[in-house]
Amino acid sequence: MRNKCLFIFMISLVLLSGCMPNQSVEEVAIIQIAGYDLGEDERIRGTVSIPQYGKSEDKASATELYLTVDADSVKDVEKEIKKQSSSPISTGKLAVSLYSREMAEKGLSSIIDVLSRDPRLSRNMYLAVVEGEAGELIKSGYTQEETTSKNVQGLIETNNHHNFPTSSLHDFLYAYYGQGMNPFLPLLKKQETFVELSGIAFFKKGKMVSMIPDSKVFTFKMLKENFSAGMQDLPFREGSIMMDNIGSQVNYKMKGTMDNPSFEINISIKAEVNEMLGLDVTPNPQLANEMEKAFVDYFKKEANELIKMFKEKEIDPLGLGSFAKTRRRDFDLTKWEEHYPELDIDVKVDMEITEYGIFS
Amino acid sequence: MWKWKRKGKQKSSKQQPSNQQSTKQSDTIPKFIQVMSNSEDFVTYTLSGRTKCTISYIKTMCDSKILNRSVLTTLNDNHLHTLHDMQEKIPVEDIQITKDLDVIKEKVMVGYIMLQVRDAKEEVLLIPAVSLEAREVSVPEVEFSVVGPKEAFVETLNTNINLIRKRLPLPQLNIKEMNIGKVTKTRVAIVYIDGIANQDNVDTVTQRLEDIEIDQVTDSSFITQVIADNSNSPFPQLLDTERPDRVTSNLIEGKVAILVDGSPHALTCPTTVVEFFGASDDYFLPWHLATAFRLIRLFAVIFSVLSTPLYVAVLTYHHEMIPAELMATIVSSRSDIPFPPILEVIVLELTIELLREAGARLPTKIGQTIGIVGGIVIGTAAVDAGLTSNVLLIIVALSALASFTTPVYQIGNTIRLIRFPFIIGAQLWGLIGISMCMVFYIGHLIKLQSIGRPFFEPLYPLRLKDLKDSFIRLPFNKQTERPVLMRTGDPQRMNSSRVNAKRDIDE
Amino acid sequence: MNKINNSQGLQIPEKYLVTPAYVFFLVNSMQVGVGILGFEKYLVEKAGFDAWVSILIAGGILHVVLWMIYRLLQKGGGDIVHIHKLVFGKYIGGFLSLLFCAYFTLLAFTVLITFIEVIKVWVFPGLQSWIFGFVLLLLVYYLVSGGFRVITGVCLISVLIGLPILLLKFFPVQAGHTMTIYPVLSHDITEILSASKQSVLSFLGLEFLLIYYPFIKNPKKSKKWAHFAVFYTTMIYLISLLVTFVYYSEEQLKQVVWGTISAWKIVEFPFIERFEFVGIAMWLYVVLPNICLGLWGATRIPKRVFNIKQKYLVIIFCIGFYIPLGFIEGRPVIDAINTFSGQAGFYIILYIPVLLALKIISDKVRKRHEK
Repeated sequence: MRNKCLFIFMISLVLLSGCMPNQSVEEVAIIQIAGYDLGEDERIRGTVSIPQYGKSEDKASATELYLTVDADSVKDVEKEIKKQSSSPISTGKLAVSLYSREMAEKGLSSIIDVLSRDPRLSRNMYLAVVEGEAGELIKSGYTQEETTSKNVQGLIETNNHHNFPTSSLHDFLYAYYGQGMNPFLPLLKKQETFVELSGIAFFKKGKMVSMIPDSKVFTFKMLKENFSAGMQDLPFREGSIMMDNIGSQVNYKMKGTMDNPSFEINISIKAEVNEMLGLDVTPNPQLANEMEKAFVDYFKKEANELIKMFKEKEIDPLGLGSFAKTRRRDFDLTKWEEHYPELDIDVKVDMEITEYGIFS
Repeated sequence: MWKWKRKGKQKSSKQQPSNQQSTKQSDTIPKFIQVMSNSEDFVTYTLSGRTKCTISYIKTMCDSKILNRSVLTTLNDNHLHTLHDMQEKIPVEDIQITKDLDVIKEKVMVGYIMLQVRDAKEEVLLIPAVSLEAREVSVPEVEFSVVGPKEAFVETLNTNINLIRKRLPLPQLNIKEMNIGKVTKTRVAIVYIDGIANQDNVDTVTQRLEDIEIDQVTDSSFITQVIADNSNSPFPQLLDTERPDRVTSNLIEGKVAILVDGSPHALTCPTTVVEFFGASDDYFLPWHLATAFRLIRLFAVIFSVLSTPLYVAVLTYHHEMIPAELMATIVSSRSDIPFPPILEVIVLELTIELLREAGARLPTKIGQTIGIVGGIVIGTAAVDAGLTSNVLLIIVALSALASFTTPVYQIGNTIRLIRFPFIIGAQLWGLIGISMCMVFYIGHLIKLQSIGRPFFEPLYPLRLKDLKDSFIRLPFNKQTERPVLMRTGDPQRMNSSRVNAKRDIDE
Repeated sequence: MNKINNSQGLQIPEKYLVTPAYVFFLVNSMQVGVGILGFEKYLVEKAGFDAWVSILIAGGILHVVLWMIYRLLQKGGGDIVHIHKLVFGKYIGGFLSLLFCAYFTLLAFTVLITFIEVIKVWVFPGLQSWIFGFVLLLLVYYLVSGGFRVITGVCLISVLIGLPILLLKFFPVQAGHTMTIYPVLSHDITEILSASKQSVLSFLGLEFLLIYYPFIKNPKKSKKWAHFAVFYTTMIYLISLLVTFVYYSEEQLKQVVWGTISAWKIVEFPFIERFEFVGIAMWLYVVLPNICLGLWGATRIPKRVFNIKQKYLVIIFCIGFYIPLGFIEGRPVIDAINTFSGQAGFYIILYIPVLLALKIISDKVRKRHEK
C-alpha cells in the first residue's frame, strides 16, 4: 500500500512538473521569411513576416504581419522582434532568408555562423541576395493567395529545378566551409508587381564579389551539376531557336601534377528543340547538326567567359579545388590558390538534339 | 508472473479444506431432500401403484416428456421391486445406481430424476431427464465473415463440442472436463488433439484450471482473466473466438482450446499478439489479398494508437515538422480553439469512447441511431462552437474507425485503452515521450507469456517460419509446417514435397 | 528470474538461454549506440576523408579481439568472473571483475547522459534531466528486471528499427556530391591509425560477451554470428561515414558535432519535414539496449562475485545513475566523460590479449602440476 502511494506520488510529480514549457502551434508567431539590410550606424535592420492564419472559412486569403527592427546582430534581431510581437517567436520554420546586396558585399560571415549553429533551422531553407532593400521586397505583398515567404520559396524552388543551380542553406554551408570551393546564392530583384530571379551572386568566403545575369545561369548550372531541365535560347541564322534540356551531364577530369594542373570539363547535353522562331525550314538531320554546332560554340564561349571571370575574382564556385583535393594526395591549398588564376581549363561540349516536338 | 503461480498455489492449498467442509453440510439423502424441499420447484412423492418407490426431481430442470412417457408408464405398468429391475425396464439411456451423495446431488441439480425404493435406502436410481433450454446455433455476430462458415458457438457446452467434433472426426480429439466455480460448478472442457498438441501446454492449462479458486464462472472471459500469465496486462493472453472453424484450425495447429458451459466463446492458447490481428476471413481469400488486408489492418491499428498522440506531440512541441502546405490548414483550424491540443484530444477521445459505450449498451437499432446522431451532431456542433478543430475531429474519427478493424473484439478494447498513455507521453516529451511509451509496451509484450509460451512471437523470439502466417499470409503450399510456437509433437502439416511437386509443361 | 545458481553461475536454466543467432543482435545493438550519431567529426579531424580506411582497420582489429574473446571463453568455460577466479585467484580476480563492473557501469552511464545531452541540444533545450532521467531509468529498470531474455528482445527490436533509419541515408546521398568519394590516401599511416583507435572506441560493446556468454545456448555456434555482427556494424559505420563524406565537405564536417542528426534534417516527406525529431525519438530504441545491457552486465558481476541478489543491485545502480544526472551538464563535461569511457574501453580491449595469454600460461602450469 505504501509502495502504491509512493508510486502515485511519483507519477503525479512527473506529470505535474515534467511538462516542457510549450506553446501550441497556433499560439506562436512562426517566422517564415526574414530579410536583413544595413541600417544606420553599422546596425542591422531586420524585417520578418509572420503569416496570420484566419479561421477556416477565409483560408484562401493570406495576411501577413511585417515587423522591422534595428539591431546589432542577427540574434539581436530576434530579441528585438520579440519585443514587438504579441506571441512568442518561433524561427523553426524559417524558409527563406534574404540579404541586401550591400550587406552581402560587406560580408555575411557572422550571419552564416548563426545559421549553421542553430539546431532549430532547416537545412532546406533558401538564402538569397536581394538587389535593393530586402525589407522592401518582403513587405510588398504580391498575390492574394500566397504569402511572401511562400511566393519567394516557391520561386527559388521551382527555378532550382530549372535553370538555377541548387542553392539551399546546406549547399551554401558546404561550399562556405569546404576547401577549394566558394559558395553562391541566387539574386532576387523586386519588380513592380512581382519578384524575379535575376542572376547569381558569387561569394568569396562571406563576401559577395561578383554576379552573373540570368542569361548566363544555364551555362553555369551546366558546368556545375547534372540536370535534366532548363531552357536556353540562341540566335540562329535569321531567327532564334529554343532548346529544352532533357539531360545534361558534366564530368571533370584533372591532368598533370599539383605543380602544373590542368582541367578538362566534359559536358554532354541531350536536348529537344521546340521553338524555331523566324526559321522557315523543316527539321532534318543536317539542320540538327548545324544547330548542335551553334549551341556547342555558344556554350564553349560562354563557359570560357565564366571561367575567366572566376579566375579574375579568384573564386571557385565550381569546386575544382575540392575536386583536385580528392584526386591528388599532395594537394596543398595555398599552392592551389596560387596556381588557380593561371589554371588551364578546357571545356568540351557534346550536344545531341534528339527531338523536334510532335509537329514537323 | 512467478509471483502469480506461488500465490495461486498457496491460496489453493489453504482453501481446499473449507471447500470440503461446505459439501458435508447435508450428508444424508433425507437431509438433502429436506434442504431441497425449501424450493417450490422440487417435487418429491411416493408412487403407490404397482411399483412402490419415491420419485424426486426438480420440476424446472426435468423433461416432463421423459418423466411421463418413459418413467411413470414403465413404473406403473410393471412390478418392479429392485433398483436393478427398474434400471433394466425403464427405456431411458444411461441410468445409474449410486450411493455417492455428491453424485446424487450433482445429478439431481442438473435435472436427473431420483428414484428410491424402501429396501435400498442408501442406493438410488438416477434417470437422466435433463431438459436443456438453449439457443439455436446462429450466425456469428462478433466475428462476422462474408464468406466461409456461418456457425457460431452457443451457450451449451455439448452443442459447442458437437460443432467442433463434426469438423474433426478424429479419435485423437481429446476432451477433458472439469467443474470450476465453488458455487456455479460450471462445466469446463479442455479440447486438444492428442499427438499434435504439446503435452506441456495441455498440462499447463489443466494445472491452471485446476488451481482456479473462484466462486462463479459465468463466462469464458472469467477463465481468461484468472489463468492469464500476467493478469495486470491490458493484452488478452488467450484468444477468444465464437467461430468453431477458427477453433478447429487452431486445434489442428496444435493449440489447446477451453470451452466453458454457458459461454458462446472458446478460448485458444497459446496465442500470440499477431494472431489477434488475423481474421478467419484471411484464410478464405487468396493469399495476396489476405496479406494486403492484414497489412491494412496492421496499419490501421498503428494509426489508431499513434495518430492522436502524434497530433499532440507535433502541435505542442515540434511544429517545425509540419510542412508549410499543411501549416495553414492546421493552424487555421485550431486558431479559435481555447484549449491546448492535449485537452482537446482527451475531450474528443472521451467523447468517442462515450459514443461507443452508449452504442454498445443500447439495443442494436437505437445504438445505431445514437452512433450517427452523436457522431454527426456532436461533432459538427463542437467544431462550429470552436471547441475542437476539424482536423482533430477527422483524426479521432478515423482512429476510432481504424480500431474497429481488429477481428478479435478483446484486442479492440486494448487498443482503445492503450492510446491514453501515449497521449500523456506525447504531452510530456513530444515524440520522445511517445517513443518511451512504445518501448514500454514493446518491453511489456516481450515479457508477456501465454501459457508459458512467448506472447510476442514470431517477432521475439524471431521465428522466420512463423512469420509466414503473421503479418502476411503465404499460400497454403508454403505453410507445410505447424507453427514453431506450439512445439507440437508432429510439426509436419502435410507432405511438402508432394505439395510442391513441380510438373513440367504439358505433363 | 533470480533462481540462477549463485555459487556456480555457469549452469543457467535452459529457459533463460537464448539461441546463438541472437548474439548477432546482442553484439550489434551494443556496438551501435549514441556514438554513431556524431562519430564522424572525430575521425575526420584525425584522418580527413581517408577515415574510411580507419573504419576498416578498426573492424579488422575487432574481429581479432572477438576471436580472442571466444578463445578465452571457450577455454575458461564460463564468464569473465570465472576466468578471473581461475587465473588470479579469489581476491585479485574478484577485484579485476569489479573493474569490469565499473567499466560497464561507466559505459551505460555515458550512453545515458549523452542521449540526454542530444535531446537537450536538438529537441528540448529546457529538459529537466532529473525528471526525464527518472522515467527513463524506470523504463530501464522495468526492462532489466525482465532478465536477459527480455534485454535480448529489446536488442532485436532495436536492430530491426535501426534498419529503416538506415534507409534514410538515401536523402543525404541524393543531396550530396558523390564526386568527392575517390580512394586517394593523403594521410600518413599514423594519422589513419589514430583515427582507427578513435573508431574502435565507438565500436565498443563486444566486451559484454564476456559476461553474457553463459546465457547462450550452444555458445560455439554463436561465434559466426558474433563475427557477422561485427562485420555488419563495421558496414553500418562505413556507410554512415561515406554518406557524411558525400553530404558534407571535409572542413564543414570537422565543425558539425552530430553529423548523422544534421543529415536527417534534410529528410522530407509530403506529410512530414525535419526528420531529426523522429530520428532522435527513434534513437531511443537504439540507446535503450545499450543502457539495459550495460546495467545488466554491471550488476551481474557483483552478483557473481559477492552473491548479492541482482534485483537489489539493479535498483542500487539505477539510483546511482540517477543522482549525478542533475549535476552533469554541458558539452565539456559530457565530452570528458565520453573520452574517459572511451579510454577505459581501449584499455579493456588491450587487456583481453593479456588475459588470454595469462590464461594459456596458467593452464599450462596447472597441467604440469597435475603431472
